[in-house]
Amino acid sequence: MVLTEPLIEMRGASFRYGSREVFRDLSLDVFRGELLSILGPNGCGKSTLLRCIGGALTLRDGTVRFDKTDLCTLPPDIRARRVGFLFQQHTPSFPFRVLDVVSMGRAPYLGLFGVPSAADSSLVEEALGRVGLLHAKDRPYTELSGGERQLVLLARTLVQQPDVILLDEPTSHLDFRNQVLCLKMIGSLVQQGITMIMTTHDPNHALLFPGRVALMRPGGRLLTGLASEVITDESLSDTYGIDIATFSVPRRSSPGELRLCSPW
Amino acid sequence: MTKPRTFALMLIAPLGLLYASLFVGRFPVSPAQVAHILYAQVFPSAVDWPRSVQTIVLEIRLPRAVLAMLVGAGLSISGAAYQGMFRNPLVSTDILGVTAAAGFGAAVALLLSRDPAQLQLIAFAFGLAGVGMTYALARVYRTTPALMLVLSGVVVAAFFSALLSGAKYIADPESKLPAITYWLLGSLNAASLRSLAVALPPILAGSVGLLLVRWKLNILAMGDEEARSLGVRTEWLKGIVIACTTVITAAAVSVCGIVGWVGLVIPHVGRMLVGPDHRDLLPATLSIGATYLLFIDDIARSISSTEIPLGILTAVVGAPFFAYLLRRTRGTWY
Amino acid sequence: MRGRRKIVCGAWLGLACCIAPLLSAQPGGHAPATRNVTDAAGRVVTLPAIVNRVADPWHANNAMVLMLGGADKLVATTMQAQRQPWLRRLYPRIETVPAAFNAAGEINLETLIGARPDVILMAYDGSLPKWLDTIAAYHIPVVLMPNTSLAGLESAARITGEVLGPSESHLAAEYIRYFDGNIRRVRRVTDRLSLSERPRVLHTSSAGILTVDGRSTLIDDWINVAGGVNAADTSGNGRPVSMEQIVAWNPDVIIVGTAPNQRSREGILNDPRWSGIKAVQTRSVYVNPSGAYLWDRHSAEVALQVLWAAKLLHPRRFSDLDLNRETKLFYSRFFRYTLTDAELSSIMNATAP
Repeated sequence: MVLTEPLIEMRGASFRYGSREVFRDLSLDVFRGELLSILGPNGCGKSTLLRCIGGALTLRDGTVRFDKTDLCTLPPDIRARRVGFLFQQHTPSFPFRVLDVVSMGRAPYLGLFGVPSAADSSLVEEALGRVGLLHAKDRPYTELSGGERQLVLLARTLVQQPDVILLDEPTSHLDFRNQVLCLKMIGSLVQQGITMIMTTHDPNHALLFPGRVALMRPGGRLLTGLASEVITDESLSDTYGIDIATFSVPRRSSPGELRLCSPW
Repeated sequence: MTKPRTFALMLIAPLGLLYASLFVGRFPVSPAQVAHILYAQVFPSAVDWPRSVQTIVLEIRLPRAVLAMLVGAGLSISGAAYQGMFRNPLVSTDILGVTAAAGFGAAVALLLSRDPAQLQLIAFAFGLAGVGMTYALARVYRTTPALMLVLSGVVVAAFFSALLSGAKYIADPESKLPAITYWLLGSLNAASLRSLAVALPPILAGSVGLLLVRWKLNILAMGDEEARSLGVRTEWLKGIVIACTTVITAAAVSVCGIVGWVGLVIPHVGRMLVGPDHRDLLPATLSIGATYLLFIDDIARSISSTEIPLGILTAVVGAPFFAYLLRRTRGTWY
Repeated sequence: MRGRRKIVCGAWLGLACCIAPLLSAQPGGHAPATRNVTDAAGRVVTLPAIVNRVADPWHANNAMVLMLGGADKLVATTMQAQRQPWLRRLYPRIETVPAAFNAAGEINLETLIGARPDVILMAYDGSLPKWLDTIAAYHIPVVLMPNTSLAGLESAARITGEVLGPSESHLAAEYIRYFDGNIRRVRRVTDRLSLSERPRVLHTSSAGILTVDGRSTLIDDWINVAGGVNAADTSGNGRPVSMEQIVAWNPDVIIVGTAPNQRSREGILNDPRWSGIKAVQTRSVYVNPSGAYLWDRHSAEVALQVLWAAKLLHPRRFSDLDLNRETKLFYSRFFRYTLTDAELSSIMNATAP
């Protein structure tokens, strides 16, 4: 991790839906090349925070500087060249081919009436290769498993070539196997140097990655730092309102230990 | 069938049927005569047919056939665009109330005994106004969510349907009530070069507009939030789609009344033939819709001495076909 | 719950007690209190001996009632009859008679019952009016009259007179004599015509959309009597047809029925699609006159329509027929109204007075 100028700088951020306050006076930095996990229980405002960071929602108070500019003031296509989103839930649409779904990621570069060119197609195939789904490129994406479909959508954010990819609970609707597939892919993309912010309600997912964690606590306060520092028995029990203990187990694939947490 | 062959067929089929439509009908005209007459329009040559034959072919059948193709193509491409935009295969072109509003406009024109050209303009204007109302009603926080659009469309359509019933309630039963009733069932009976001239520009412009944004429709079909995250100005795009579709549908309703089922069923046929990608689907629906409505209208005007309303035929053919699709796909989208 | 139902039942009973005497109350009271009339559907309908209150949901028949002198007995009419410009001129009270029937022939039950009619007069084309069951509970006699032919018009005049009373019945007989006389007068000439001498006539019936009147209609009847042949080879009134079907029929004469006739006539004469048709080439496109009701429809003025059409189709054979004079005579004799020349022209051109 290169601790230089932060890519994203959030200061004094507050957000409300009507009269319901979601969070207040949050500050957060995100650096190039890191994976930041925003961790917290369901309904604490992680997804809202993520949308504010990506400029999809506008803060009530405070600022988000993205590479020193305010994302909300950018036209949507320019913003989409800098920020890619992978949403929690995708309601399947028409049975488009995998290739066609991924090529939608080129939209920010193509203008209102544009269509993808041959050059775009090669980017698409490359992205599909990176998520290991090149073999499925002509299949209807609706026929894929939930995990594969999520990888297709991840590939779509890759062809956007954004500075940062925001993942909103990317695994919450997946079964165990597909969760693992998806998380591994995220890990490998971070190793390839892509900046990512991921929200999750599961502390174990945050603990899988060596990056930093922002623990979102009741009342909308953030506890930010390295996973090993932020995720403690006390902070977890406090955040989730139940007794949780962390413990370490040896890694299977590599030397060292892996920290996990469990309420039992 | 390979893709180029499919598209070649989609180019040939409507043109072939158009030629056939010029010699099919209540008045006997031979294919050779039609060829002669058409040839003589480009290369002046000896006229050896009665004037009435030329009138039938050039003044009556040709405008009517072209209008049928235009309306069929327009309603189909609009239906496909709306189904994509609303991500719902059961959506049709009248979802935002354009049909009910334009229908009421036409009924008003018939009540006021306006001539066909004025009727077209009044129906067209009412259609646009109806969708304008829906759009204004659906706008919340500078966005127009699909659900709000659909619900507002239901409200506006119900409102204009009620007004239409009111118009029928006070209509003269000897002349105007039958006219309104027949008109609402849909007919190309009144087709002429002039109605063609009125309907052509909006249907053409709307279709070109939809064709230009057809790739973006794929993205819109993924949902508003995803589309926005991909840099699409969803409100603009929806506005463009709604405007194009409304202009097309209002023009179609204004020339031939309410022709149901085309905008609902043809997009499904298109998806079966060329797949769901709107880049292929939209041009395909143009061709299939044109061919379908031309075929239906040929039946409507040829099978008996009285006209069979188009709305009846499209429903009689469309409903069983749609039932078949539903059974075949069991409600999933293929 | 039960208590409440009792109250509701009681209320209904009370209401029925109040209404029943109103419905059954009849003036007079001398025997016989009732009489029977056989209507077009073959039903024997029992009427009060003296009919004072008539509901007429049949637009055209309102003019017939007026002609027979029974208009003051009208207690319920139709919106369409109220809007007929010439009916309003001839009988201004029609505007204040409650309209219990809308243009589509649906009833307003409360208006109808409130009008307390002794009898309802209705057209019959083979199917019973759909509101018959609705009003069955009120025991109002409904007399049905035929409306699909010239013979039917005669029997409608006869039945209407019979229902209204003796003086109206007398006028009806006089009208029928006149009507028969006119038909005989025309037929003396036209019956001898061969098919080739009979022009092919197309009668269009509506504005805005192309509909024509075919066979088995009153219109077909008067076309035949007047020495023409209906060009519309189809059956029924107001049939939608295609443009090319009309070109294929190629009528010699076109008669434009129903408002706005003058504008429809201009439209036909100036439309290139119609240009190949014989009637248009010879400019034989005419507007049908319209008076107390549309002459060409089921109107008392059909007696004039046969004369008008005969003269139109065979001007030389009916050169002795002065239609303007006939028309003025007809209105003064049967409608007790003297037409000015301007009014005459408004009727002949189907414009509002």
